[in-house]
Amino acid sequence: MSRGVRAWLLPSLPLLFLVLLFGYPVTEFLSVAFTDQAGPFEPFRHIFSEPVYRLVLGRTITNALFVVVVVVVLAFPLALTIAHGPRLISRTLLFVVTVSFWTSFVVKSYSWIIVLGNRGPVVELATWLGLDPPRLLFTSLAAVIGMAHILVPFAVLVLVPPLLRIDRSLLLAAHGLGASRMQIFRTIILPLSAPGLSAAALLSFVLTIGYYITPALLGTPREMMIAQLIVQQIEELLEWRLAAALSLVLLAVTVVLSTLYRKASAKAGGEA
Amino acid sequence: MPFKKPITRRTALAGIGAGIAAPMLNIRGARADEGVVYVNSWGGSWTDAERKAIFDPFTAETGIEVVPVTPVSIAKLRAQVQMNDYEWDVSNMNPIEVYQAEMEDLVEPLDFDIIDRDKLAPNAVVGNSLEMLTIATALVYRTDKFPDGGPQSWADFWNVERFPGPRGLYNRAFTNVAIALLADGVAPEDLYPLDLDRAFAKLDEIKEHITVWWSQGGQSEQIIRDGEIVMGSMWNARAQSVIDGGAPVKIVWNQAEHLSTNRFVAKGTPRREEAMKFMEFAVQPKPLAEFCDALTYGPLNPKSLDYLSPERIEVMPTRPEYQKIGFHHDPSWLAPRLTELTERYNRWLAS
Repeated sequence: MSRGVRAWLLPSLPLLFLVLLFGYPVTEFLSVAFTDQAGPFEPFRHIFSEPVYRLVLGRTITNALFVVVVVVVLAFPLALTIAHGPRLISRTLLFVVTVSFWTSFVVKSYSWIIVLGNRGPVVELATWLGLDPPRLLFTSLAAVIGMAHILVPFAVLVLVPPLLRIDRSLLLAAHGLGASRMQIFRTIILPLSAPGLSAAALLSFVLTIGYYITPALLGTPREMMIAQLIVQQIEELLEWRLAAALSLVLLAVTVVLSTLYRKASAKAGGEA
Repeated sequence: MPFKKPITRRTALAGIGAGIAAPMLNIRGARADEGVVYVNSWGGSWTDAERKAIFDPFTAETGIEVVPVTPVSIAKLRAQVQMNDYEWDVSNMNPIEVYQAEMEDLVEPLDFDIIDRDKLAPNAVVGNSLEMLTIATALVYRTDKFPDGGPQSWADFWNVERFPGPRGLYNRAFTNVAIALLADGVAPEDLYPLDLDRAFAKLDEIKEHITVWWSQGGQSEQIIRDGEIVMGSMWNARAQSVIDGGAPVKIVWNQAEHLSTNRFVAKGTPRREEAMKFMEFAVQPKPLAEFCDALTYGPLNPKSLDYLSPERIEVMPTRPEYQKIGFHHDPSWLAPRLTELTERYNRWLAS
């Protein structure tokens, strides 16, 4: 057996699994988009001429970018502490993050309903302080909180390995040469963790853009995301062609944006 | 024991394999069985009531077992008819969905060689479906917020000066378009064809006062029970369960939307005969009355009222007084325009 064949042997089963159980049905579903009697591109023409789809797609992307910022800002200090903090704190944090990672996102979404609801602790606290109880549940803020909460553990687990690879002697040397904490962070930690940060951001973005359950449970239909529209096309309106075309557009947007992003971050990395 | 073989790793594996495979084989076996019918159902309290009032008595009478399948989904119905692989045989849907299903050719024609016409209520047959019950989507308000009398119509719901406070609406395009027209003074009998421009102009007035656009029954109960809204649209049985739970809530029957739930048989199912028998049984006065008694939806077989107490009929949309003041939709107008309407509604809601 040649080396080439042997190299394919190990991944062949999972590859077959992906092609048969994922590739085939997904292609089959997406190809429905081109079966309109009025012409293969009719559903796409419709999507681009009816403003609601652009509106919702645009909002989905903005929401996803917002979630990415929240996730990265929350996950980075956590990951940094896990990688370079005191052993006990680091272990405890890692444990908490892993447990959160293992918890089903449906459970997490329902927990937020309790936390943010009218009888939840946030509203109770506001009332106790004599403030006007804020409206939280069934707003897009609630949806963003819920999605970010689900994604933070993903981002932490992506960020930790590159942070661990940062050579501690660099930090010690900088410190010894009189660099301030801020300088160390800016000139050593941040540039060296850039690839990890960029991977975490991309992962969060791609996952958020397709979210359905969490925005449906916590958010408002006034700020619906594209997946909710796709489900409505399938479930209520039986417009499977439109649903497939929308899914393809979403897929294309994801691919284009992530390619642009990878190119941009590679360029930034090359210059650094 | 001469036949006992030693357990080797291979036989153990075979045993485990059989153990995993056996239940699956059983399911296949049961599905080919003649004595079963699979009925699409909503789950929760709906299925519990259905089992007690309809499924079990049907099995006792005919020997045909009834297996409920959730959730109710017209999309799954279409998939199973297209694939010729049936997860359920009997569907239950509102007349607009039934119309959609008829347009998509998903409905098996009623077979009056099996269903006895004389055993049906006079208006039970609608296309190829049988009317079962009516669900009212009514205006509901908190009595503690309006001690001097609450809203009595959709026009009052729109009147935010006289009846201030956050509101909730069921997030369904055709329901909200219709109540907007009623609020604007259109008579229930003149609703159709819907004047959409007028309806959306009226909806603009109330948009900012709606704090929750609910989509699940449980959600609607929670927001009125916890006082997140002072009034909203609600399914009558959900409102009744909040009232029975002791919350200060009242149902306004005036201008309530009456939408029936109809049963029909999935086109091409191999268990067509059992399904038709089930269809006939499910709309008989007694089982239907018992089902509606549990949930306070209104039975559409008038004879069912003989089995219900006057207090119970009073909280059902099919009480004759309520039927006169409620409104209905026109599925033949609505169903072919549903995509267009929903897109316009989504655009309105999102912008």
